[in-house]
Order: sequence, then structure tokens, then C-alpha cells
Amino acid sequence: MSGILLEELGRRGHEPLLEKVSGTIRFEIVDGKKTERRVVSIDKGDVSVSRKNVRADCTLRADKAVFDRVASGEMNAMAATLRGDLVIEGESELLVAFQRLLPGPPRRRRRRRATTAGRRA
Amino acid sequence: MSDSLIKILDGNTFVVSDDRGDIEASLTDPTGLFSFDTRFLSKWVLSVNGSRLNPLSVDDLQYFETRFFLVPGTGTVYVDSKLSVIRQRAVGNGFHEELTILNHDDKPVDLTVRIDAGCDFADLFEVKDALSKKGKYVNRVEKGRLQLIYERDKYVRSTVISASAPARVDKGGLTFKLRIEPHGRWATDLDVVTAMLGYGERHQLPKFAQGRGRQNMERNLERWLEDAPRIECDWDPLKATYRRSLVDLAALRFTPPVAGRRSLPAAGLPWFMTMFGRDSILTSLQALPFTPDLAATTLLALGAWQGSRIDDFRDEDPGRILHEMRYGELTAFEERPHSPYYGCADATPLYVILLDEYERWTGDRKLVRSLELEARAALNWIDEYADLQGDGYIWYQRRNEETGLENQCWKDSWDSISYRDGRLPGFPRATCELQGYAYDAKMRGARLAREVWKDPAFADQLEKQAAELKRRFNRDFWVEDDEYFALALDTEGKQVDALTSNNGHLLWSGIVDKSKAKAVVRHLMGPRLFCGWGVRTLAEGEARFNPIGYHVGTVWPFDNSFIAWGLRRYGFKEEAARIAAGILDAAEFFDGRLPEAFGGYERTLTRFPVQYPTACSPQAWSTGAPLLLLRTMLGLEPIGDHLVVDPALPAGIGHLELLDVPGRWHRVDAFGRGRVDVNGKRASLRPQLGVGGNA
Repeated sequence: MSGILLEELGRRGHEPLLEKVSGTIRFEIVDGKKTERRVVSIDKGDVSVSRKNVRADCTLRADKAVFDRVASGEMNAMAATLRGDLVIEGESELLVAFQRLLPGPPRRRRRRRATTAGRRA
Repeated sequence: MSDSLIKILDGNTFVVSDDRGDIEASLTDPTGLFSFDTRFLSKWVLSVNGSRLNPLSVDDLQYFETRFFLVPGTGTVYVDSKLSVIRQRAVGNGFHEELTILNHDDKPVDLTVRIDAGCDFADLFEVKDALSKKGKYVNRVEKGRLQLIYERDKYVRSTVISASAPARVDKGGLTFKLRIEPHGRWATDLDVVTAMLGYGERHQLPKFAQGRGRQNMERNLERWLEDAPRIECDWDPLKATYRRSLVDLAALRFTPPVAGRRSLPAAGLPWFMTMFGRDSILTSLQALPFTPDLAATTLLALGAWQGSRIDDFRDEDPGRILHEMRYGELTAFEERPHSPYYGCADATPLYVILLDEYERWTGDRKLVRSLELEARAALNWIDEYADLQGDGYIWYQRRNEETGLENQCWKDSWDSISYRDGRLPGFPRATCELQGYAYDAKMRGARLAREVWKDPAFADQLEKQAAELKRRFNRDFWVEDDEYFALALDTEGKQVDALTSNNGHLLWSGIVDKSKAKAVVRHLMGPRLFCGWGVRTLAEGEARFNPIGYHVGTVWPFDNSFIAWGLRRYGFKEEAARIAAGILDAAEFFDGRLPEAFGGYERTLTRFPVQYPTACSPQAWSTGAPLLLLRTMLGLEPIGDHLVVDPALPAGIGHLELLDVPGRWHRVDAFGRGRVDVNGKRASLRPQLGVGGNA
């Protein structure tokens, strides 16, 4: 998830799914030798993004390619964390909250309905 | 698991060893130190002068602590030993062991003490399914500590072993050379610390390393027991079972990463020491009158993980409550979908049921208001995502066909859903209890919408849907010729007609027409389902019936506790008391710790309950069963701001008091006296229950 993608997220403003959540997440996006930083602040569902270098409740560090795939829904953030592709320090509940804003993986096939029987009621 | 194995646990960390305290695990047996679904120690063997030790006794000090008394020599004839060896072990972020050797001789003694250590870092799923490893092992000696490491790409898990006494450390263990003076002693502390590198860089000391942790944990357990209602009762085994349940529930508490410091129950030792949607919810329901905090944590944690997108690999949908969360290697590499996995069709309606029941007991409207969005999403899931056939019922069919779950109801083994003649239906399947839960979730959701969320239009809509569901259900699932509810519908809308214990859950949900309840109860308490201890999962006489078949004939204590609740709901107090008597009597045979399941043999045939061979124990919802049975026997029901008590107790229980029951009334006492003759015509209970009969 490049910095631009994160900033788009910040423009979504209020997220009802995160109304019980407050805290800051620092993203350290490693791209070769340089590391880009973004801080996502969540205040009872209000999401904002900045480049300020502040202390965060939770820090996520990974290669840019990993963040990009997490942002597009191709990679599951929790599995990536367990695997060590995404390193998390601090309050992991903020990652659990944050990943609810991410899309699901691309569908391989359409959701199937076993029959097309109509509503019987 | 063999009963001679010694188990200590704390949340999702546990140690299983033999009665000497040694661990020698093969890939397929669940012994060792486990944490977060990974084995962190598979070898831990103590020897003195090259010989293994003999066990004299084992003291279970606490659920998290054990003491082993050992003597040297492995001969069959006991010779007075001049040495005693004591290992005292406590679990918590790894484990801490105090090893003490006493010399009883009047001469000094020179000893070589050796601990062999090693680890296969198996994922619990690999142990369960006997799979092999893909990464590499590195053992290192660093700063006098032994470090066991497993690496696969960036996945790193490690165990660090250290001792307080001087030791020679090599890659296979620790050696101590020592001399003990006459009547002297030697001791060392051993710390085994687990680490999941990358995952929060966890490298914590064992909780007990400094000694203070143990006191905290003991105090925590004392407080837990003090906070729960006190029991006074003429029948002593019930007091023992009650205490065992509370302690086991304390042992099974663990703190998933989303719950702050609060804890919820893990499902069961050894395979299910993790968060399960269904198990956590049902256990929280059983324990509500005793420890309502578990319900609050369960609601918050499962809410934080509620599905938010469509993910076929994880069978995730928006609004769906998770089935199972795992932290091991197979989950990390997505060879298993448990990060978390959502393939379960009952946890979502049960979530709404727990939310309502929690409010009725505690009056905690703040929590119910804060979870409005989650509850609405769960109710929406029932209609939008679970109705795979478009006919208004909950259906299930996995989208992950390789590693997803086929049966997404509590009876989740492959052969659990069958017709009378033993055939298995195709998918999707609509099992009956799911429809009951959906009905109850809509009715309870309606109450919350009206009273807490102040949305009467939504409440009306839910009630209308529920009434309609009830009408259709009583038509489509009712087996006319034999007068009970079919286990499921198949894709053609035909009844999967086996007679099962699920009928009891239907009573609990309230979906059963009053006019049909009597016939249902006749089946539940009849000889095909009721075996004397409790209600079998599948009725005798059905083609797949097997008294030791996992979901096709065994008796599940948790199942029976909800059946008893259902019987009370429809006014069948005496029948509920009979079930309570049978299950609580069985509990005494298991020293107060009911296993997951036991054999569905006729009681008069075996006289004692036969344990299911690989049953988990302790198992959260079996631990919760005696608690729910206490509630149903006393007829505890919150009505408005009051607790109504309407006891119907088996005669043999005599006098029963439950003191300081917590709730919106603060604390009240409940009393009852045993008056129900639970033997009826089928006299079979033991005299211990005070009802004599001819058993």
C-alpha cells in the first residue's frame, strides 16, 4: 500500500466500522533503500493520514510489494503477520480494526447459488 | 489423550508431559509445550547419572502448576533411595521449572544431571493430521542459553532455554556437574521461553520467572472464585463439580490480541485452545449467571473480527461471525484458512442471541448500544448471505472446497447429517437448529431494536419475519408420521429425516409450535434418544447410530444443558430435572470434569459413563454444562429488573442454595429444594443421588 493509497483512505473520513477504535498506526513502507512513513490516526471512527513522525500505538513494517498486495486485498494481513512478511509491534488490535477497511481478495469465480429456486414464502 | 498424561495450562499455552515430567513427543502425539497452536518443546527429558527417574507422586497444585516427586533408578523393585528429585513446573508464556535434588545420605554425592531438549515446532494441525515440515532447524548456544529455532522464509519461531545454576550447554541440552553435601540440597531454576519473531517480537519471560507472577495468578484465581456465586447443597458431588467447572473455566480463559487485557474462553484441550465463535458464545451463555464478563469479552472480540468482505478461501461474508482463529505455521502460509476462518452457519445468529441474553441479565445497555452495528450486520447476514436457496432458511455450503468445513453446524463431522436410512444429503444443507437460532435471533433482535436502539420499525420488521419463519418451519421440517422435526432439508426441499437431539435446541429457540412441543418432548425423553445419562446425539434405531460415534450416538453434556433449557422454556420442568440429574451424576464419575462427549450406551447396561476415546478435556462448553444445568434446575430467569426463581430439582439433590447471583439486580440469592422424582418408571440413578430406585 503506497503512501498515495493510504492518503486516499484518509479522505474517506468517518468509518462506522471503526467507531469503537481510537489509536495511531505507523506504516513503514520499505522500498529498496528508502523507507516511506505514514501515520494513520483513528479517533472513534474518524480516519486521518499524515507524514508526521510521531509515536504510534502500533507499527507495521513491510516491503512496498507486501503493502500493495495487502491494500488490493490479494494478501491477507493477518496471515502475512503470522508469516513474518508484515512485522507488527504494539497493539495488534489496531491492525485487526484497520484490515476491515481493506477489500476482499479478487474473486476466482462468482458466488454460486445451488439452485435458482424462488422464495417460497 | 491418555489419562496418565499430566496437563497444565494457561489460556492457549499448555504443557503435556508424562508422570515424571518428561516430554518425548512423536510428530503425532499431542505432548509437549504448546503456545499459539505451535509446539515449542517436543523433548524435555531429565536424567541423573545417565539414568531416567521413577515417579513417586504428582501434585496438581493449580491448573497452571504441578509438582513431580521422583527417585533415581528404573528397576521394578523399589530400593530406599538416598536421593529425592522434585520438579515444580508452572506454565505461562512458556514455562518455569524449579528442579531440586535432596541428598538424604550422610555422605556427599557427586552427580551429573542432564536435561535433553529439542523441538519439532509442529503446527497443532500437523500433529492432528500427521503432516511433515517444510522449513529448517537451527540450534544455537548463545550466552549460556540454548536457542532452538525453526525458520521457513521469514517465519521464525524459537524457544530459549536457560538455567540459574552453572551449566554446560550444548545444542541438545544442558548438563550440570554438582556435589551435594550430606543431607544437603541443590536447586536450579529452568526457564523455557517461547517467541514468535516478527509477530510483535514476542520474547517474553515466563510469567513465573520472578516468583511474583505465581502470586498474581493465585490471587487472580481466588478473585475469580470469590466473584462467582457460592453454592450450598446437600449433595456434595454437585459442590465439587461446580468448583471444578469454575476452576476449569478460569484455566481456559485466554486473551486474544483484540481484547485488551480481557479474556474469553478457549474451546478445549488439546486441539481447540483458541477462539471459536460457536464455542465461545455457547460457553458464555452457559456461564452468564455466574461470570457475565466472559460474555462481554466474547461479544467485543467476535465483533472486532466480524466479517467485512467476501473471501472464498476463508468462507468470509460481511456480517458473518468467525468460526475459528489459529496462529500456527499452516495458517501463516495459507495452507489452512484459519486467519480467521468463517465457515460456520450458527455463530452469527447465536451472536445476537448472546447480546440480548447478556442485556437481560446485566442491564449493560452501553455495550449493547456500542454493538448495534455488529448486531445489525449479523441479522443482515442471515437474510443476505445465508439464504443460499432463496427460500428464507439458513443454508450452508463451503466455498473453500479443499480445506473448508463441510458441515458448518455444531455436529460438524462428515457423517453427522443423515437420513434415517443412513444416506447423506448433498449440499447446501439447511439443518433444523440453524432455523431455530435464526428465529430466536430475530425475536431478540426485535427486542433490542425496540428497547435499546429505539428503532420500532426495524423491530416490527424482524418480528414479522420471525413469525413467517416459524410458520414455514413448522410446516416444512415437521415429520408428520412420527411427530418430530427433521434434522435438515436437502436441496430439493425434502426432509433429512433422522431423529436427533437437535429437537432440543429447537425448544430452546422457541420456534416450536406449542401444539407440537409435547410430541417433541416424548421423543427426547423416550428410549431411542434418552439413554439414562442424557439425550443421545442420534436416536437408536437410525441407520448410522453408534453409541461411540462422535455425533451419531454419543451424549454431549453441553447439548444436554441446552436441551434442558429448552424443556424449561416450554414448561417441562420435571423432564429438565431428569436431564440435569443424569448429566450431573455422570460428572461425578469424571471427578466433576465432564468430557466433551461420552458413550450413548443404555445406562443400565454399563452403569458408568464410557468416555469417548479422543474427547477433549477440559472442554469449555462441557465445563459450562453444569452451570447452565444449575440455572435450569433453579429456574432462574431475568424478568425486567428482577430475577425470578422457579426451582424444579431432582429429589436427591436435597437443599440447594446459590448465593450472590450477579445481574442487573446487583446480587440476589436463589433457593430450591429437590422434589422431582427423576427416576420415573426407568429407575436407574444411583442411591448417591438420594433417590434409591432399584439401581
